[in-house]
Amino acid sequence: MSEIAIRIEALSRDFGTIRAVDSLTLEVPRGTVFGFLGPNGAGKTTTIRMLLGLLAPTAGNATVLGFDVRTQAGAIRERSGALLEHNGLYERLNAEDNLDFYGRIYRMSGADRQARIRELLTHLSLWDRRHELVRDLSKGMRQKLAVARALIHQPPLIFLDEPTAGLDPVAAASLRDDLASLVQKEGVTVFLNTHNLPEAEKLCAQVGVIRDGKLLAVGHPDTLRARTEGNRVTISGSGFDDNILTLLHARPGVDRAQFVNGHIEIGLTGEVEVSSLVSLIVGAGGQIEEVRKDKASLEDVFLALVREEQEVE
Amino acid sequence: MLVDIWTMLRKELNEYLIQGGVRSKRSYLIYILIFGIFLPLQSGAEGIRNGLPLLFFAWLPFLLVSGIIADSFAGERERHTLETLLATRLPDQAILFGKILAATLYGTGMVLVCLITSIVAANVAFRGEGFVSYPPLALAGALVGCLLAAGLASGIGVLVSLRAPTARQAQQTMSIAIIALFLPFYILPLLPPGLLPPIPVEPEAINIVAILLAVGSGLLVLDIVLILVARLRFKREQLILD
Ligand SMILES: Nc1ncnc2c1ncn2[C@@H]1O[C@H](COP(=O)(O)OP(=O)(O)OP(=O)(O)O)[C@@H](O)[C@H]1O
Ligand SMILES: [Mg+2]
Repeated sequence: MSEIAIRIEALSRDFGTIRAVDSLTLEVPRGTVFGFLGPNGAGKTTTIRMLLGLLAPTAGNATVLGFDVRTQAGAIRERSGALLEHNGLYERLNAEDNLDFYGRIYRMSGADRQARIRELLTHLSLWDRRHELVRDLSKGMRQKLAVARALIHQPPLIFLDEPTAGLDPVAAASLRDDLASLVQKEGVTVFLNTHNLPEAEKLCAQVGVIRDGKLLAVGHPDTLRARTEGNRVTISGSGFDDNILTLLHARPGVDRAQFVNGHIEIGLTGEVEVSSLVSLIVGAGGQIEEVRKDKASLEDVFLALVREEQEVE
Repeated sequence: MLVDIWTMLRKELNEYLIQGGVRSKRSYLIYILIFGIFLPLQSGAEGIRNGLPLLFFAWLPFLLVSGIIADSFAGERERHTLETLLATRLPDQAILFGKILAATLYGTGMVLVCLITSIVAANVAFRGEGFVSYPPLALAGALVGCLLAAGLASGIGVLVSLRAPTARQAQQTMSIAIIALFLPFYILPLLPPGLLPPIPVEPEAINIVAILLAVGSGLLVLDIVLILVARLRFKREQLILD
């Protein structure tokens, strides 16, 4: 078995004159959680649809678990699970029957279905609510149920399209915890669409950033951070003036220095000793109360990438 | 393949008929009261022995089937369950035939229940007049006819439902299609006699069995054609983009 779960080569899809996905090239290794990160309309859903063989690509190729999306879609769908844009649950059926239907679809035996449903629902704290109609469950519970449905037949690969969209922060965090533990327990490859950066940071080993159908960057969230923005230092205190900013700017490795809410925020591109910056400020007459070194969030990475691309245009 | 069709069929029946679906338990009761008790008893014991109430059953499959079948794809699209279903391993035929069969079985099953109820009701109501029942041949013919009619309604309905954006719209289009189908039967008797082609003179000369067989075969062919057309129109990409 190949070590690559998903291989995408110059994949494109047009809708009339709109190019929703634009020569996308990408590889997702087996057993990893891959985050596909992009703003609304970036082409994330269209990509998943093509990978499941539900939409034909306009150009390019892709294989999923070694099967061609154009000619072997059946084999792909046999071996993968999906939680798409909508949870896809039958509101008029109860939680258990929803899972049972999907278990039957994948030809699981009665005993296997029962055991698997119990295992998943227990893990997601939904076992006691299995006889309730889906329409009576909260939105967070429904999303969890839909995750269970995607995993029911123990597929080696699942697609998740913005699983926490529309959930309140508590429900979203709870779903992410469950996802993280399930993914680890089951060793499943995950292709996760999201525009939520903390979600990608929490769950994903690899992130691909997409905008307007084009891939802007791929890498580990940490690598992306380092590559785009470097680190950021925030210094608070008093006696700061423009002279200090000018001095800071002049230092090699300092990308920017500015006042933010009375603090000095310094962007670093290279390895710079923070202590040398501190002594520079003190030498110029500033009094320092606190020095905080924080990593750029994926949000910064994302904005920087989008900016970069706009500058190129 | 059969297992997959059964999986689909089972879910449809479970969703519509057993758990809080469109048909409440009360609506079954109303159908049974009207078609199983009220209308047959109106015809009297003699009427039943002549098979008269069986004529009422011509409408019944259409009434029963249209609600379910209109919902088949349009309802899943409206409630956002269609794409997830299409993203599974279920083959096209299993999804399509499972849904058509579920509606057909429901229509035929309810007719059967009404027929049995009517025989029981007649024997209770007309005690002392001997065993009251329909002529066996007519009964068998009616059942086969209902099965074919339910198939026809399912075939039309599934075609409508594949393309309709909402279940409601599918239902409306379906009603119009059924009215169009029955229109000739309402219009022909209203036409001036001269316009109609001459009918064989003596009624005895008409071979009822032959006519029924012809109508039955016609329905069967129509059912098959509709299902084949539905099979051709079933395209996952199209269903998702619509
Ligand atoms: N069926 C369609 N017909 C026409 N255009 C479409 C269709 N589906 C998607 N598009 C267009 O393709 C582009 C990508 O859409 P897509 O749904 O893949 O984005 P997305 O990244 O999933 O966005 P979101 O975060 O909003 O879900 C958008 O410009 C969208 O308008
Ligand atoms: Mg989307």
